[in-house]
Amino acid sequence: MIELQGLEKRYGNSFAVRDLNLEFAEGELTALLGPSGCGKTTTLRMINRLIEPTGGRVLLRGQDTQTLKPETLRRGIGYVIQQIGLFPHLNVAQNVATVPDLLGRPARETERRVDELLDLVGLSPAEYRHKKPAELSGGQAQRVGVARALAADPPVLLMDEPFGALDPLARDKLQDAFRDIQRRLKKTVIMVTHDIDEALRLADRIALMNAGELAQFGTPDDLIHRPASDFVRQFLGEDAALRQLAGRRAGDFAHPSDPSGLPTVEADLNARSALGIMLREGSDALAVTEAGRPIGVLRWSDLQTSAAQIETVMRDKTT
Amino acid sequence: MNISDSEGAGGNRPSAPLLSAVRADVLSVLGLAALPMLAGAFLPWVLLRPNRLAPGDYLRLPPAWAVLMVVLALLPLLAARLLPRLTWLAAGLAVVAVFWVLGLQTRSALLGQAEFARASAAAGLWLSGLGALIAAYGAGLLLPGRSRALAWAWVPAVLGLLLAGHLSGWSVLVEARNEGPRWVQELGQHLRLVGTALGLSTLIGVPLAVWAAGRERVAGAVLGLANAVQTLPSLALLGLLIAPLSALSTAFPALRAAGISGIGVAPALTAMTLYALLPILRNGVVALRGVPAGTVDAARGMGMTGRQIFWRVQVPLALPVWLTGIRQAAVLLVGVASVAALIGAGGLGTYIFKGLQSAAADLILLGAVPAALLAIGVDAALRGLEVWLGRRFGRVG
Repeated sequence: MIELQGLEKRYGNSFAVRDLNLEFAEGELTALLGPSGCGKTTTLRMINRLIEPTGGRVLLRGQDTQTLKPETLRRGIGYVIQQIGLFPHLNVAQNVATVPDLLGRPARETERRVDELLDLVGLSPAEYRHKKPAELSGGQAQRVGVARALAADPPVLLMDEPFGALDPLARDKLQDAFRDIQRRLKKTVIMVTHDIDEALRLADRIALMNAGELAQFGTPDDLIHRPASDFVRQFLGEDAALRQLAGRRAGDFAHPSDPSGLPTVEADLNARSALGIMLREGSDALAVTEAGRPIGVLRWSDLQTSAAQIETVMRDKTT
Repeated sequence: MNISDSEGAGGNRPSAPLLSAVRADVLSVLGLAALPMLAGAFLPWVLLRPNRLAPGDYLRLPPAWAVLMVVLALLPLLAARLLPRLTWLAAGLAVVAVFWVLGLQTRSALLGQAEFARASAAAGLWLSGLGALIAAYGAGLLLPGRSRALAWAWVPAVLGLLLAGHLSGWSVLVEARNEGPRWVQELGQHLRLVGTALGLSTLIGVPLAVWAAGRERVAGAVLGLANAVQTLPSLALLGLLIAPLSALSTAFPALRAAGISGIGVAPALTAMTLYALLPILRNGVVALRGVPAGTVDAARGMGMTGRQIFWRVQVPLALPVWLTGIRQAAVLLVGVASVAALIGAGGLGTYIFKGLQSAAADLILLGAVPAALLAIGVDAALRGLEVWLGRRFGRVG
């Protein structure tokens, strides 16, 4: 879908991004992860040419983006930023309608589309359509930001720390909501984040960057279990496997078995908490129930299958 | 009891303590208003002179009128205690009565006098008028929301008195009548000076602000310069311009033919334009730079062109602050235009300086009062425009 070939941005003698080669697969969410100043935001902004590269190419569906007018390119790519950037003088509906209006779509159609999108991001159109951004909470405003980016139904979505300015509770809720939306729409999403938990939770693939260069590109499992360098290992931290479990449901690991006599947990509980309960109860298996009905048993070894290194981590923690 | 009275319409709102605080406030304002009115009732109201320069006699109010003024002085205070809803009526009545009595007293003083005799207002009237206006202001504080306009109900009444000729004996209006068309001309000249300077400075200032706002160093320099020039007194600026402009007109006869010289309209307009440029430029730069970077970034990221970002995002967001600058400039100009008479540019200042030279207070008032009213009017009109635009472009809070 999107391919970066030898992408480079230099300011004077220093490189913000250097010889970056990456391919973002269609319908996947890729997190650009890394410490601040690693060039991840610069990379993102070179994709929609808010920053012009000093070398290399960006291919969108095989087409060099340099051959397009920047405005045309950007209207075909959804864009969400951390400060949200809603237009304070326009109401929610007008904000969401920005790109369809720029594209000259018929007003009637756009109106319908706006309501559809507000529903999608979990805001009742009747209640929110006419509100001004100043009347929204941070979480609501960011939902509008996502709806606005999706308004013209772009195949690609660029997100720059989209949930960074929210409090932890609102962030969790919005991440869940966004994961659901992404499962339904299957956009090609590139999300800049410095939050490892966010990347592990949402991303299909992670491009970990350091000092303008790619440190490792792969699935979250790849990065956790097969780190390419000491930097990757250090950046993810010794408890990366645990963090990854925190983003999964206990129910997803459960297998049908006899649950009698085992401590019980809800299927929606995250796997990390389930592990905590195992430790507390001194049991290597838990009965998992969904809406009161038993659906199976979660064993210690089930957690290991996806997190092979969990053993070493656990040994460090318990001894 | 008083507190619950004023609360009537609101029912048992939680803001009750606040309301009572406002009322204590208003009572002290009304008390403050009563003092000058009480003093005014016993001071002379009219200065009768055989002509506008000669010394004259001070005339007090006849006892019956003095008693009326005392009653009117206390009425707003009384109303606020007993019928808070009608305080505006009591205060408005006091203002109208002051003008009414002024008309009666000046006319009766002039009865049997020669043509050049002048009946001016004296300390008693000024104090009573001041007190009555303060009372009207205080009464306005008691009125909720939109009904606050009732506190200005005296304005049409006083205008009616003026137009009906009731005040024709008052020396200021006698002077005005004598000046007649010339006064209208000077008023027109005043408005022309203000309008031209405001137009010129807007024409120059707006593009300049747009240009400067995008450039870090230029913006800093512009703001520094604006603050520096603003500290120059307008009189000094007018004086400073005489030399270069007269040099120019001597060097280029074409300029002289066009009416440009060291004194007159040209230097006045130059100085006024420079003066008004500063608030327009400063507020423009501040307003444009105040547009959140994230908003502009989002607009760019969504594919707006530079022009679309400017018109759809930056202008609407900068407009309220920018308009404030234009309003400040307009009010400033009404004042500076009064000084422009000193270098022969005309305007209402002509009467102020003429009056100052001949120690004729009536002439000073003839220039100063309309100039002051003009400034207030311009301020109110542009403020209204700001509020309207602010609502239009949806500033919340």
